Amino acid sequence: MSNTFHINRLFLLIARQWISVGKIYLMAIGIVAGVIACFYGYALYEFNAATAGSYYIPQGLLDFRVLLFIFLGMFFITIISGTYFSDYGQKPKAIFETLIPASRLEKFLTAIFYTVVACLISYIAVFLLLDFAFVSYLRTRTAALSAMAADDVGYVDRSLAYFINLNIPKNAKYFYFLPFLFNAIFLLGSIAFKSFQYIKTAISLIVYIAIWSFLTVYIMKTLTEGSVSVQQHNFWEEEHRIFQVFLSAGITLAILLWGIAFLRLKEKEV
Amino acid sequence: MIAIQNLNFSYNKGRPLFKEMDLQLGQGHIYGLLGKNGAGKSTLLKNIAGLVYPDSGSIQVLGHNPRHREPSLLSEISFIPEEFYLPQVRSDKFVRANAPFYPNFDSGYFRELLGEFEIPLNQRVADMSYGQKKKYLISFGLATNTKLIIMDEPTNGLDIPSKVQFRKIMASAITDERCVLISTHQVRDLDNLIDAVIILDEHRVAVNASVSSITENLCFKKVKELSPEIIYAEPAIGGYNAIQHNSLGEDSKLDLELLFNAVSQKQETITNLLHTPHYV
Repeated sequence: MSNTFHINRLFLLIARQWISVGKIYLMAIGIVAGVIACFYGYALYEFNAATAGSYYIPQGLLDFRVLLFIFLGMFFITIISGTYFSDYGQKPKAIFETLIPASRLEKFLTAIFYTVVACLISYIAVFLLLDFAFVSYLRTRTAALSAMAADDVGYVDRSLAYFINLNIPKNAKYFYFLPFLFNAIFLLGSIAFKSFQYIKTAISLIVYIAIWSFLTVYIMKTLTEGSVSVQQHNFWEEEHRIFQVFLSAGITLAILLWGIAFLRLKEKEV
Repeated sequence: MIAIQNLNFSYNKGRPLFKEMDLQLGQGHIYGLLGKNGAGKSTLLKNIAGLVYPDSGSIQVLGHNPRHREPSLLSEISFIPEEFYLPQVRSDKFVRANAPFYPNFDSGYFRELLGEFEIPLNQRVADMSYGQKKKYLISFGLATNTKLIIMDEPTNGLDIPSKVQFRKIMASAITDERCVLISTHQVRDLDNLIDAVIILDEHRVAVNASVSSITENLCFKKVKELSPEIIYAEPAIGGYNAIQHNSLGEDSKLDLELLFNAVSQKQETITNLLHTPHYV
């Protein structure tokens, strides 16, 4: 049996790790579902208040969904990633985890499975399911508004669209790397720090972004002050090129940080 | 089974724990690892298990470098640490999750050991007392049938009947293919159990000898008065507990505590008599 990778051992490890991560995972997904339900619940309250004696669906009733989906998703993935290897910060648990007969690659792939694959799939599934349930309920309530709907074909579909049917902005695809990048950062933080891994990683990230932003603005300002751009048809004038660079940098950084996280896990001493 | 050569290890650069340490351990023995507080007993066990890495020198365990933490080696090591962790699950779930990683795990033997330690099978691991958890972990470790069993202070937290059970179980668990390494402060718990002694002192292995070779070279006896032949003695009721060179080939019972104290104070004399390093 290979000492680097064996598929049976990987499946055994995934099943075994559920014991340690399962509880926190289910709790986190429960909290996420609760938060989503709260937002929809408030929308329902607004809907009830607005449609009492009126035939109009309040404008922007479900506009919160996109932002909620992005920020709650980021929070969920960072929480799961930032706590996955936290056991390695406590000696007794670290010994228990380190000595389980599985390769470091298998241990890392199991981490990726729980913090990326399972995390993203379950989050998207929970969000879409709750959205479907609430929006379907709101739509049944609009039966009373059928007169309005009959006059304006597509009114209900526009006002109470399912989240899955919303139009995705053209450039959104350039940011699909973000969950993976955040996963890589927080996974590395959970290995690198011995305690308070999530908080320390978050603070490090904020400090890094602040310094990086300040330096970029300062350097660019210093370099370009008093000068005028004379180039025409510049490469950077096309918006999508900037996004492409952003995407490439994000993917490279995520892969690099995953690599560092793997090496840190490999060399972790107890 | 375990070969350590020129091991150097330190947690802080200025304070080395091991200096050019050499040690060899063979199959079919139960070793008692003794040393003062801070001598590095737990750290030596961690080095052997690959939990920490040496600064320099080589460690070979069953032909592997433990630093690589290869599954084929890890599946042959049972490590029972002093401070341990057990997840909050039922026993059967714990076994289902962990036993498949050990190809020689014997569930019948595991149940037998739990029975001997009087641990109820259907109890949640988290609900067990500290002593019960320790006995549970020892039972699981032995049932894995690994070639190397490492125990760090295994009798800490065990009551007197459990210590007796522990000695009995360990004595029956040793086979020709197995090596058991037990680190402890409580030397009385190892009485009649170990067949080899390792004593760490001054960053090195001061003694590594079988019980039989120790008693061949040293005689442990009670004397009324001190004489020039006595190498080391401690006052006791009605005289002294003493160690002297066994020049007459007398039979005596190894007194681990006395030997440990003698090594601490008269290391050179003792080690010269034992012709250490005398690998077992």
